[in-house]
Amino acid sequence: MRWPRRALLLFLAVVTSCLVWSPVGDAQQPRLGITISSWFIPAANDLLKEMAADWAKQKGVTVDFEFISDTDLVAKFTTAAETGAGPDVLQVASLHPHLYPTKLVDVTDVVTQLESRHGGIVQIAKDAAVVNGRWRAVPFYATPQVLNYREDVLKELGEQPPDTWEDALRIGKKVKARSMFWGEALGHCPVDCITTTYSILWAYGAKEVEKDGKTIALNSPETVKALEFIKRAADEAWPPGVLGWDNSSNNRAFLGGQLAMTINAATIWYAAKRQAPAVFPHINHALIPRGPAGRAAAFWPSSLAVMEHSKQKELAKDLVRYLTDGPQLSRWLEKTEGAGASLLKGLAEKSRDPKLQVIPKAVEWGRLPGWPGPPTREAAEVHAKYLLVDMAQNAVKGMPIPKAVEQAVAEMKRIYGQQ
Amino acid sequence: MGARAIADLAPSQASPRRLGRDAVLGYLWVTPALLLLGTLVAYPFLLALYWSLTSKTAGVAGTFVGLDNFIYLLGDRIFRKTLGNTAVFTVASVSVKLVIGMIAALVLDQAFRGRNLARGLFLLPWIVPTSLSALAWLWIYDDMFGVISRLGMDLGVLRTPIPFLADSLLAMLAIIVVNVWRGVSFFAISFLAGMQSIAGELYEAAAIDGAGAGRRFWHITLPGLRAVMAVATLFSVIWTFSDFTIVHVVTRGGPANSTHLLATLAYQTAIIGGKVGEGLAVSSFMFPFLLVIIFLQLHFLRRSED
Repeated sequence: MRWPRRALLLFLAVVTSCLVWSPVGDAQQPRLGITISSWFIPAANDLLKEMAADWAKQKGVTVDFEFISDTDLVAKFTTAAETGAGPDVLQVASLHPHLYPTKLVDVTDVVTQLESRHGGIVQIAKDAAVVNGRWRAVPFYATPQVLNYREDVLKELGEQPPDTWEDALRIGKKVKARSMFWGEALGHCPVDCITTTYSILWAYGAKEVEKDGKTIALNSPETVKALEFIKRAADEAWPPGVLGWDNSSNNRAFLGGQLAMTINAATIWYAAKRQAPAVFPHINHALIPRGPAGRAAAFWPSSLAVMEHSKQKELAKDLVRYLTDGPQLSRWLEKTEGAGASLLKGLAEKSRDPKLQVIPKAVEWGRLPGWPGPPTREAAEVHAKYLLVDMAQNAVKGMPIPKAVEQAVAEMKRIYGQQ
Repeated sequence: MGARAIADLAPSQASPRRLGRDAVLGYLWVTPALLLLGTLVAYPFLLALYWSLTSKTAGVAGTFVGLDNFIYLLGDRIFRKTLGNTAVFTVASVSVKLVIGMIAALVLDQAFRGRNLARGLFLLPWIVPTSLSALAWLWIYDDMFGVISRLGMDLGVLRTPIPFLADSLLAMLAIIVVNVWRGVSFFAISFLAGMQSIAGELYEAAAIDGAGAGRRFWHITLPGLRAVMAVATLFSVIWTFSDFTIVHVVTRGGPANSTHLLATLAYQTAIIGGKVGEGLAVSSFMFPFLLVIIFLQLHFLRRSED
């Protein structure tokens, strides 16, 4: 008789204590969560934390920082939007403001102040974060994709950095004859592989859709020309494995002295300074090559969004305002050692290495998937499913180019609901 | 709780009245487990099934669309390719694991110096977190730095690097090799355990009757391991069929979707693409197949218990 009752009491005691237990914390001090992609330079992450801590001290708030890989930002955002839980402030590096505008707090007031103080904001940041005339995220920085090249190798070959994609191929062939490579990532990877495909398509005048964002325009002579170029580059200059490359493959190959040219953010520079002293003095940067239709590079600007589910929206907005404002931003950009660039047109820079002068200029060539149409859910899906990358891969693998285009168009039609 | 309490609880000795009281307590004890199963397994599963019938996107409820997602997928080239990839990946990986696992178990069953160490080492691939071992394999396969291509070129065997992850067939082979490398120890250790339970007298009698090693294996070891083989294979089919990490790390489904598996396509569609309903429909395609496997598994388990 005694045992079951005692057990029952014990059981109830355990359950009750589980229910009333809550994480230990300062009940008086509000907590703000912020999730940001981890910068590959630890000092830049530390400074961001330090600045947030300064702000938190003034406001009497605790800030919980979470650094995640930039490739995980999309999954993090989707989960937060779906569950209505998670950090108060999230870094946005995709078309998310356009996909889920109602999940993000209107921050037009914060951006208007920034604009008035720092002389306007670059177009790509507007494209990424303005939905129906309202800002849904505050522009933070960009890591523009540029041509990373080896000055010594090009000098030896009697060449200047390539201005056009055809120049790049011509030099690439010479480089290959010297047992090095020009190489561009063309696998299933969310940044570099998209840049390779989209930038070359745009340079040759190809586009997914017209300006209306609805009329599919991929099946065109321009697309065929761009794919022919990619196929020639892959056959004649790029290393054989580029279809399997991810975001970091070209960085490693460049640092290892196997690549003489590659499109990448200026992040190889920082790594070379520490890990590859033999390569470092020879690295320089140039704008992404142009084609018959002009110059364009696919990359995302990073913005900071306040989530609608936040219980402290005003505080969260204030934190974002503080971190993205001129003085803080300048300090932080300096720590990125040249790879990061401001999205504010008038933000004066203290100093920049001569070999990184091109980085701020490269921002204005940035375009988002879907361009020249607006960023739409459909464009995001085409991007997420690597449809255009697959088209390029098929062309490289030997599929007749018209068939590769036809296949991509058929899949686009399904996504755009035009079957 | 002492011996008396245990005796109190034994059904054969309990009076009907006591049984009633203890039965209530019994239910109470299993309640936490049921709650856990209900909230962490049954609820998400049923919700996923429901969402696969809706047009839900991340953060938006969506409307009920019946089987539209499934019909859409069946007409989708990438999805059909993924189904084929998943079948090839599963059948090839599990078959190779079964054969190598058996050979390894036969070797590890022999008496030799350092046998225990060898058995322990053999388990290592199974213990190492998949994401870490997948990263190591990614490096092995790298065309510019990978140990295979580099070594082949330095030794003069290869003229150009092998593009393991750039060729559809090689990429599929590459992920099968990683899966086999990781999963073969599970087979080997299961078979080894099964071999310990086969009576030694059978082998002695067969040897006296003049049966060679091959016949002893065919007529004693294999029949003795039948139940273990069935259960290990079925478990492995489930794990292989729903594999995610290896493809996610090594190929991300490329090149041209030739290594996408159902789990990675579901992730790409629902989490990266934000089309939750469609993505869940992709993963729901696994369900009927896994249900059959689980049914077969329970059947074999019950038979082996008998």
